[in-house]
Amino acid sequence: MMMVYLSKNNKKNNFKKNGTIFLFFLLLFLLFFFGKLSFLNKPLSFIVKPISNLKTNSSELVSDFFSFLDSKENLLRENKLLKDNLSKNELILINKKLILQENLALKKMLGRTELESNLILANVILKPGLSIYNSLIIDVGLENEIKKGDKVFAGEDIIIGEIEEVFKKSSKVRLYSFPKDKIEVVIGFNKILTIAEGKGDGVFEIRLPQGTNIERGDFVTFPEENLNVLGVVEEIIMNPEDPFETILFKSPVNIFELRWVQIRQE
Amino acid sequence: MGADKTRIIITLCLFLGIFILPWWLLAVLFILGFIKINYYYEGLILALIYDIFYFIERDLFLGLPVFFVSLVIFFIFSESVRKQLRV
Repeated sequence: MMMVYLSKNNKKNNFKKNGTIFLFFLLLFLLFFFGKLSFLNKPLSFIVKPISNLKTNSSELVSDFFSFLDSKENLLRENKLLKDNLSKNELILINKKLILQENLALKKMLGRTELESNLILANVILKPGLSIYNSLIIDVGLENEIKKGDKVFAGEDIIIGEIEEVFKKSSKVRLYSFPKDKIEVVIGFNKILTIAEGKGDGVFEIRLPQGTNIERGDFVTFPEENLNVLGVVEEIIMNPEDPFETILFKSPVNIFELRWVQIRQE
Repeated sequence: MGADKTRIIITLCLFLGIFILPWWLLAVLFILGFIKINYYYEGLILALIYDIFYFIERDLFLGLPVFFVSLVIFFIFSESVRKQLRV
C-alpha cells in the first residue's frame, strides 16, 4: 500500500495561503466597519428595482390567477364586506378631520404652531423580512434631499422608523420595533412618558406600575409628535405578585406588507 | 457538471437570494454552500455584500455585522463539518 505524506513545504504553503486569505477578509471587514465600502451601495437601486418589480408582478399574477378561480358568490360577499368597511372608514375619516381641525385651532390659540413639513413618497425596494437587521431599503436618497434622522411613515400618521443611512438614489430605514431597541414614548390619555422596548415585527413592550389606567386600544405616540401614532395597546398583562404591569402594543400596519412609505422632512 | 460550474451557479443563486429570500432561508443556503463547496470564499464575499446592503447597528447583535461574522465563524469550522459529513 502506498502512503502519501504531506511534505513540510506543502504544509507551509497551505498555512501561507490560509493566512493571506484570512488577512484579506480581515481587511475587508475593517474597511466595511469603518464605512469605506459604502460606495458599493450605489448600484443597489439599479440591481434591486428590476428584481423587486419582477417579484411583485409575479406574486400579483399568481394571486390574480387564484382570485379568478374564486367563485362568484365569494366575490360578491367579499365585495359587500369591503363596501361596508369603506363606508364605516369614511365616517371615521370625517370625524378625524374634524378633530384635527379642532386640534390645530386650539394649538393656534395657545400660540403653538406646527412646524412646516414636507412629505416624500418612496417605494420600498427591499422589505424588512429580507434583512436580519430589520432594515428597509427605499428608492429615495440624496437626490431627494433625504437626511439621516428623517422620520418614516406608513400612511400619513403611522410612524414606523427613521432614516439611518442615505445614498444617492436609495436610503436605509431603521425600524423602531427591532428586539431590544429602546425608544421614548407617551402612552394613554394621561400622556405618560416612558420607555418602550422593541419585540420585533411591529410589537413593543412597556413596563409601568400597576394602576396607571392604561386600556386596550389606547394610542402610543412620540413625546414631540402627538398626532403620529406609533402603536395601539393590544394587551395588558398583570400579575398580582408583580407591582408592575406589562403593556404590549402593536403598530397598526403590517411592516412586512409595506410597498410605499412617506418620509417627512422638517 | 464541473466543480467550477457548480461554484458559479451557487454563487449566482445566493447573490439573487440576497434580494428575494428571507434572511433565515438565505443563511441556511449559505451554510449548505459552505458544506457543499470546498473553501467557499465567494460565500464570504456575498455575506459581506449582504451586510453592506442591510447592516444597521443593533444592540441585540452588539453593533456587529452579525450575518458576515457568523458565516465567517461557520466557514472556519466548515472543513471539519465537511470531514464529519464526508462530503
